[in-house]
Order: sequence, then C-alpha cells, then structure tokens
Amino acid sequence: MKIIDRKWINPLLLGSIVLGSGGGGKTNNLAFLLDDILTKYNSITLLDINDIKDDSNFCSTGMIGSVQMIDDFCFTGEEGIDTIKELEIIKGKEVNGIYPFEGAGVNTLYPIVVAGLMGLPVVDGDAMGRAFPEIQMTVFQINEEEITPFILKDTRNGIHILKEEDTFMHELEIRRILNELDNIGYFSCSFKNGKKLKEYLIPSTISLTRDIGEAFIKNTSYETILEDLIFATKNSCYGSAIELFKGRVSSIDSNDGMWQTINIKGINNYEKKNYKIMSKNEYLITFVDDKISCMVPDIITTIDLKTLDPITIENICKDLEVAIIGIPAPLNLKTDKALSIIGPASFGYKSTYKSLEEIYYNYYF
Amino acid sequence: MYKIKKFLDRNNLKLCVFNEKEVLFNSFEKAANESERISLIEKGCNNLDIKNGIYFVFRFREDTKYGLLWGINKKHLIEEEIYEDLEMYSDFIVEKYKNNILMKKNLLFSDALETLGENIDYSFRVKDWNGLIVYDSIDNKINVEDQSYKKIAEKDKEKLGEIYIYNKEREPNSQYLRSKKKLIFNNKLIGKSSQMRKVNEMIDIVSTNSSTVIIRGESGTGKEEIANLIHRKSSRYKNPFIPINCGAIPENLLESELFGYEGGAFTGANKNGKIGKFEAANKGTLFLDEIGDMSENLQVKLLRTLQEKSIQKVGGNDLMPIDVRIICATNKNLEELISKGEFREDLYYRINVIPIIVPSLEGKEEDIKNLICYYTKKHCLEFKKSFKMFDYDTLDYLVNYNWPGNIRELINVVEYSVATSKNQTMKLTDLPKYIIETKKEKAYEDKKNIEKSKILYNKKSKNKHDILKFVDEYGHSTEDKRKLADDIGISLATLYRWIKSEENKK
Repeated sequence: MKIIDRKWINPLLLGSIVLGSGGGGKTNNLAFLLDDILTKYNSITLLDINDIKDDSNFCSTGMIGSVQMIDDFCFTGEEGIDTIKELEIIKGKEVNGIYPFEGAGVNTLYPIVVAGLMGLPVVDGDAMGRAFPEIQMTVFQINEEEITPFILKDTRNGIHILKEEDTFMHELEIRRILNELDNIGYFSCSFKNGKKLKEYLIPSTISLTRDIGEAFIKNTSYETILEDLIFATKNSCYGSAIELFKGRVSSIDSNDGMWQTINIKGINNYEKKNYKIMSKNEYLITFVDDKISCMVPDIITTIDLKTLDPITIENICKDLEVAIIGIPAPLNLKTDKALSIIGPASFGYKSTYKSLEEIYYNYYF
Repeated sequence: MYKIKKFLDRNNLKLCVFNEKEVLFNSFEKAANESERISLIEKGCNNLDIKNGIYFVFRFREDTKYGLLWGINKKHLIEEEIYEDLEMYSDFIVEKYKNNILMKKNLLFSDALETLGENIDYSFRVKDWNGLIVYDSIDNKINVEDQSYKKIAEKDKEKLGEIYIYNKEREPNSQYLRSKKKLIFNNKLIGKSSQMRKVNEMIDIVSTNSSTVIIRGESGTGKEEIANLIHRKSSRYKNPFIPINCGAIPENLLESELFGYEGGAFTGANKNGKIGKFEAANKGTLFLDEIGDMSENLQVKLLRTLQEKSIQKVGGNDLMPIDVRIICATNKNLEELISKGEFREDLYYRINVIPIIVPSLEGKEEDIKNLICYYTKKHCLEFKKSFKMFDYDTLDYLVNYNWPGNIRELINVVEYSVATSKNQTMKLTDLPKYIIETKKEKAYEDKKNIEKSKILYNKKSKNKHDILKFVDEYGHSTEDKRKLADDIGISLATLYRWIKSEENKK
C-alpha cells in the first residue's frame, strides 16, 4: 500500500503523457484539482493489486471524448462520483475502491481525483496499460469480460446507462451520445470484484507513471532523463525504454483525415536517417528509413529536446527537435488474443505485429 | 458565485482555474455595477497571491458559461481600461469560437511577454494558432532590456496561440547537439530492491575506473552478468571480455590457460605455443570466476601478476607487460578459507579492492515478477513463439517461491514453461513439477513449524504449573525429560527444578 500525496501530482502529470503514446490528452487543471483535494485531505491510498481483497468491489472511472474539449468544461470530479453512485444503485453494491480504465493521459489523474473526493482508495493498475482510442481496447475485452453497465454523464448533466453486451455496439452508442453534445463525457464502468482485478489488470501502472514522471522532474539533461526512464520501465512489467530516434520535425501530413504522418529528419547519430510516425489519436506505427521501428501496442513517446518534457501529438509542430522513445507493452497486451483487439491490424495496418524486443533484440537481451 | 483556486504547477508558475459552473464572465454579467465587477476581479487576484501577474482568459464557451482563466496582469487590474480590455477578450473568445477565426485585436501577447519579462526565472515559447513556434526564449534569451522579444511581439501579436512556459533552471540540453558518442543506455540490472540499487550504483562507480573488483554472492545470482556489464560500461568496452572459471579447469591446465605457454613447453604442447587468457584480455577485462577454488600455487602466480602487471608464459623466460582489468567472483567465504589456510591472505587483500555483494532472489517479490516478465519475453522470441504470459495465480506462486538457485533457476523455470506450454496463458500445471513439490513440502514444513511453535507457546505460557502434565505426556525417563526441556526451550536442570517445585506444592 502506498500513499499518494502532493509530491505525486507533477510526476503523475508528466508520466501520464509518456504512457499516453502521444494521445490521452493533458490538462493541468486535473493537477490543480488534485492539488486542491490533497491539500484538503492530505493523502489518497494507493492499493497494490496484491493487497486488494478478493470480495471487495471496484469500478473504473474516467473522461471520454475529444481531448481538445477537456478544458472547455470545468470538471470538478463530481461528475465521476455521480456516475459511480448510479452504478452502485444498479449493482446494488457499494464500491470499495476505484481503478483507472486507461492508465494514461487525463484518465490517470481523473480517477484519483474522484477517489480523493469520495474518500476511497485507488488501485495501482489499469485496464489498458497505455492510451487507446476505443473503449473496447482493454484487458477485459481481451479476456472476454464485460464492462457494462456503463454509466455516461454528459456536459449537460444527463446520465446515460448503457448496457450493450457487444462492445462494438457499445462504442458506437457512446460516440453517438457524445457527438450530439459537446463530445466530452464522464463515465464509470467495469464493476468488478478484487479477484477479477487481480487476474486481469495491468499492475502497478500508477506507480510506474509516477516513476516515469519523476525522471523528467529530477533530471536536467536528456541523457539522465533517458537513463532514469530506462530504469523505471525496466523494473516494471513493461520493459526497458529505448531511444528510437532523434530529429527535427520536417513536416506533418494528413493522409486521409484519419492517419497523420509526422516526418522527422535525423540529428546527431541519426543524421542521415529519416523517421516517420504514423498516428491517429495516438502514435501507432513508426518507421526508420521505411523500415518498421515500433508498432502498437508498444508505446511510442516524444520528448521535446529543448524543454526536455514529454509531449503529446497536439504539441508536435514543424521544426521541433524531438527524441522518440519506445517502451514495450506489457505481456498482457502482446498475446495473440490481445493483438487481435489492440494490435496494428485493429487500426487498419494490415501487417503482423513485430515487437520492440524483436526489432531491437540486441538492445534488450 | 465563482471560485478561484490557486495552484502551483511544476515550474512554480502560478495559474488559476475556475472550476465551478459559475465563471467570471457569468459573474460579470450578473454584477450590479462596475465597481462590483472590479472588486470581483481584485478579489480573485488577491486570492491568487501572484508576484507579477497572471495570464489571460483563453477558453470560454458562451453556451455553457464554463471557462478557464489564464490570467491578467495584476498591476493593470485596478485600472478601469484594463477591465474594458477584459471584456474585449471575452468578446474575442466568443467570436473565435463562433467563427473560428484568428483574433482581430488583442493585447495578450505583449502583456504576456511583459509579465514574463519581469519573471525572468522562466523561459518560454510562443506558438501561433497554427502550432508553429513564433518565439523561443531559449534560442533568444529573454531580457527585459532586449528588444528582440518585443519585436517579435509586435510582429506576431495577432498570432498568439499558446505560451508554453518552462523553468529556466531546467537548462535546455545544449550538450545533445554536440554529443556524437553512441550511448548504451540499457545498462542496468533489473532490480528495484535497495540491495540491487546498491549493486547498480557500484557498477556505475567501478566502471569509471580500472580497479580490481570482487563480486560475491550465492550461486546463480548472475555474477558473470555483472562482470560483463562493468566491462561494457567501462572505457575498455571495445576490447575483449574474457571469462574463465577457475573451478572448472584442472589445476595444471589452468596455469597454461591463464598465462599461455611457449612452443614446446611441455609434452603435447602446441609447437607454436598458445596465448593465455591474460594476454587475450589485454586492454580488456579478465573475469576470474570461482576464484576461491584456485590452487595455492596459482594463487601465488596470480598475485605476482597482479602486482607486477606482467605475465610470464609457461616455459617462457620473458615478462610480458599487460594491461588487464581483473574482476573476480566467488560464492565461497574467503575469510573462512583464509583461516583454514586454503586461500592466501595477501591475494585476498589484492583482489578485495572493491567488493560488490550480490543479493539472492528470495523475498524480492517485485524483482522476481519483473525478471519473470523479462525472461518470458526473451524465451518467447528465442523459440519463435507468440507471446505468452503467466496467469495471476502462477505468477503469485512463483513470486512466493524461495528460489534457492536464484536467477539461474528462475531462467530455467521460465524457459521450461515457455517451451512446454501449449497455451497463451501459462498456468501452475505448466511449471516444472519439482517446483510445485518443493513448494508443497516447504508449505507443509512451515505449517508444522507454526503448529509446533503454537504448542510450545501454549506450553510456555502454562509453564511451571502444567509441567507435570507434560511430563506425563512425554514420559518419565531422562531421555523423555530432555526432549521436553528441549521443546519448551529450557535446560534439563530447570525442568527438574520446576518438577520439584510443583511436586512440593502438592
């Protein structure tokens, strides 16, 4: 059992960008909110997966919709509480703790805010292990566990209860509701007991997020940041981070409205090489001189070489000098079954998944 | 009413946010008169406790009245004209949302720069609405006297989109542009426990020099791996790393293996001679594993080599200077060997310059889990199988296993499971049988021990008073009484004293 206090806020904010693989969104407001809560209540309990009781009940909560819209609505965390209360009524049981659905970007901090307000502990783990664009892309779907009832609260305080068993239909329904309004909503779902969480959740992701963020705060040079990043990821279920490339963004092309290509010209050791990041909501596939360098579900993240901060897709712009870092996904996301749901083919890239460890075998083993 | 909250972000830059549904603009609209409006702002800003000012209203949606205040220069707030400006900002933002056009008129950028100029502790970058960097204070260091930023402000004031602020203390990485050296970063051992952190720290330290290192730890803890890592991280990394197991080679062979021999030095020797490991490792690192098993004769020769930094081949006369870093390893207690006279004390002091103690695996739950993940991936790739994983129960089982063979055993168990399992999720049945049996035995023994200590505890708690009952239970012979005394944890004499005192009571 660990304690989340104010010292965790900034590391969590930065670490969540790294695990966001370019997506997941970022807002300082969540950090401010959390700061406020922690000033008031001092600390929030972070439960290790091994410490949770098999028969206690947990649910996840988060934000859903367009990351650009996050700051347009002054969320307070109360929205999440409303959805959880609704979920408790439907299930007829009380929630004993909260876990993040998507352990990246805004959805790392939001459940902590809600847990803080409700006085509940947060489970150190999540159902995605990184940022994914669809609600279906979780360890629950991989293990054929349902996540409904899904409670969605829109920006006009409307509460929607979704019970679709088919996750694809479920996803469509959520999109329909969000599109009608402001394209942002707050949800809670996946009411599970402790035993199920132990079985399926990707463990220790909040602690890892903190450790990753700490690397950016503690260090003042790129080399030491990378070294600490490697140490943090190596000592987790993910695997060592790896520097994939360093370069200057030469152009950003939109291919078909869905895919975006970020072209990067090498600097330093990579001087004569070119790098390409293909992204949708997240960075998904990268190429070095047209050869595969990293593929989803492995995590691709960018560091601004001047500010030495991790940045999301929205912050990428022409002439920016960036380092591209890869982090292998946990094994839960790499099995054949998992890849059929969250592998490159699920995003329209019809090719066999090649893991970072396979592509950079000599670095890893 | 609105509510302003103050926060510190990671760069100690103060920002504020309205997080209630009633926001500033809404309050403004409702405010009865102008002075009330101004007092609203003042109140808000006093709460902010900001040295030189805050920033600007950026996002605002008319329909929901939700907004985010990015600030206003505080010193202007008491002035009426700025209040008007504020209204203008809100107009602009609404307009921007409605028509999606760039701002027509604003003072944001210059105000921002002015404020930042005063807070020179911050570096910042300005992007226009298209996300292009229009100004970066790292390349063009900010100085209040320096007009360059004002120039840019003039030029681009209608383009403001985002001001990105970071702490000046976080020196931008000016080195990275010049750095040409290929850095090998993946050079730390898996292990988060304090002992493993210490090992990693020691590896970092010793890799910067050429001192002799001795690695000590139980069998299978990865001593050779550590030696190899030290070599790879040192300046000798381009030269060879030569490992030799002193315990595995017969004594008479070991000498020629280590030092090499001249042509025709002994019967059966190669007529061209042979270079030894020392020579092969010249300018590199020689790893002497199981140094505790080395014979005394060789210990003398090794000591001389270390002292003189030169070798003499078997059958040769010349001394050949060498530049080799020595890393030794042993799982034996060298101090005990010295006291028994099996290891030379002078050599011990020669090699025990920097000791690294490698911890065993038992009890390091988190490290075990991460090592299992690491080797599962490795073996899946080696066997060209798709990725597999252990289910929660099996992983939990392995984490609580005591791993007498340390990492070596762990690697073998993972390899066995990956090789033999047919499923993507590996279960308890996929583990080698001996592991399950050992664990069962251990669990049974633990249970027995617990029960025994329970009985003893009860016995002890009843102590003297029930002693006669126990004597009846155990038997009356001296042997039985001795057993009872042992079990309770008292001496035989005490037992007799207790029996006597209890009998007297009767």
